[in-house]
Amino acid sequence: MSREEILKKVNEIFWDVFDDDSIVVTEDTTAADIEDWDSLTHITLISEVESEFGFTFAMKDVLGMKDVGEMLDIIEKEI
Amino acid sequence: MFLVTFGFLVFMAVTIAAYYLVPGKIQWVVLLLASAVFYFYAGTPYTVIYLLVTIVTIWAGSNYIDKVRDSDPGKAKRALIATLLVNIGILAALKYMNFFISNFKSICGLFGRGQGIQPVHWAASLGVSFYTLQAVSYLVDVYWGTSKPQKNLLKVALFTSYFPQMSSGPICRYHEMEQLYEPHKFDYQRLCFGMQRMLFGFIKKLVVAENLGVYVNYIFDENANYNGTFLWLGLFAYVVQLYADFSGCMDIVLGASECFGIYMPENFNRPFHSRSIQEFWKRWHITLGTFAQDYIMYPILRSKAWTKMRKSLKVKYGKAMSKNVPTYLAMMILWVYIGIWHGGAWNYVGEGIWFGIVVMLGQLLDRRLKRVMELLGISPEARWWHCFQSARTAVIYGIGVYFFRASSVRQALHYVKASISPRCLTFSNFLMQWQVFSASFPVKEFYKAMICVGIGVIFMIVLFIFQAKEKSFYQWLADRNLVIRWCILYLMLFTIILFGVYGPEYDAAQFIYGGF
Repeated sequence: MSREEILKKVNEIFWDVFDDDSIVVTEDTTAADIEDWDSLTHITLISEVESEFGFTFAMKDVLGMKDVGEMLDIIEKEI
Repeated sequence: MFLVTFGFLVFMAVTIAAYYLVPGKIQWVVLLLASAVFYFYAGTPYTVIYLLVTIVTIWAGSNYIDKVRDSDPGKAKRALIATLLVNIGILAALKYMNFFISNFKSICGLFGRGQGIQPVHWAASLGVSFYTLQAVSYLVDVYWGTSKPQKNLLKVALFTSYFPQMSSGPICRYHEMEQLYEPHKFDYQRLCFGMQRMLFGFIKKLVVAENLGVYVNYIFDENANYNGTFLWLGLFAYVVQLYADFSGCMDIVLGASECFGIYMPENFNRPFHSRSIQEFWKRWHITLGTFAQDYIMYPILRSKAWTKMRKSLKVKYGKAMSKNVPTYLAMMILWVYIGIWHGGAWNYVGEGIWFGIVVMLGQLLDRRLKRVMELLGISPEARWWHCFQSARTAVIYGIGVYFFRASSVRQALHYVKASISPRCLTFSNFLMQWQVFSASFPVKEFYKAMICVGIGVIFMIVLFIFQAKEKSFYQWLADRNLVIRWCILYLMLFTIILFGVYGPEYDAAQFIYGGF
């Protein structure tokens, strides 16, 4: 799966989790860019990504992830 | 409690002198020795054995986990579970054994048995609820790979038993406390800031909390039977007392630590400014909330059981249910835990459930409320709306405090009922209750105490204003000229001397959170 395809799928997960189809995520998107992205939704988001791509993030990565780009790096590495 | 005694000030002076006289490399040894002295003086000496078990097990456990984590994750997980079981087991035995026994006895009683079951009288080690959580967070961080283990057993001992935080927290993470092992050069201004913060803590504790405490105890005496607006007044006084007591204790603790150049995480951030109960708990006892969130709720939400639940709910009931039900369930576990952390009794469980329900309802109704506000043209940024939200949050918190203050769920429910019963809310009832109240002690003493409280509260308001502007009061004070600076410092000192509750006949009352 290419990075663009992963980003597209991740974007769909964002729509799902935040109940907002207008969200457009990029590699640089951070929690500060999306109003409802707090620590609790972060965990929901992570769980949804794990279900979609079929792997488990290490807790170190869950807590240390700074933007969507870093999330994509991990997904690319794991799948 | 040792923190508000003259002995503690002497102890601090000796420790500070020794700390800055020895070479930087061994400053942490001074802190360790001071922590040992503190423990033997303030705690029950023989209970040090529990603390030692924690120190040795987390030191050995963390180093073993780190060694095998990558090569054999199964072994690392087993080592983590075993070490956690030992430490949580000690905490459970010391704090909750009588809770288990009394419930077991009640169940046996249903079948006409259990008359011979007696409670145990085990002394808990000083600060066991606080240092055990620190130990848990350290172990789990090493397991997750977010912290490196400490190889030196004595340094682990210092992390677990650092004396300023021993009796009432804050609950620190290992990475926040690695500064304990670093050398700290003497810094006059930092020492002044630390001591001034301690002074503020003494004002809150000795002037506000202790003066209020006497009268709050009258109102909440189980035989007193106060109700209506009078009980609301008592509740208000108790909330102020609780805040002054706990945040004052934190000022003493964080100020004492600052004297050594060690900055611990804040436990309070103007909680009564919160717009919701959820926000309130991000500003009140912050380190307990973040601990429960990171080490209880997140692991639950990420567990296989929860993932499975989410998936099956999505298939059966759709997206919204699959998102909300697992989250709210995990949240409820977190709140029950926060409740029961305060002690093994059903009223604490009740307190947790109450806050859990309020937070859940808040989240469920959030969007609807926003829509209603849009329809009514109310701006969420309007000052009056913020004031209304803060007042509402304070009342909701107050109801939770009834459970905290009561000795049983029945008593807490009695307080709630007695506060809202319409026939108790009349002015004549208030006057009648005042007569009963004022007949319990010399009224002049009461007025004197309230004036003292008022003066203490003025200092607290000044601090609030600085915090709201995100400015340091201590820096502001340092920037004043010598005369003004010393006038203010003397004012603070004399406020404690003249209006504080202390002295030989003063029973160095425990900090409310020191009991946990």
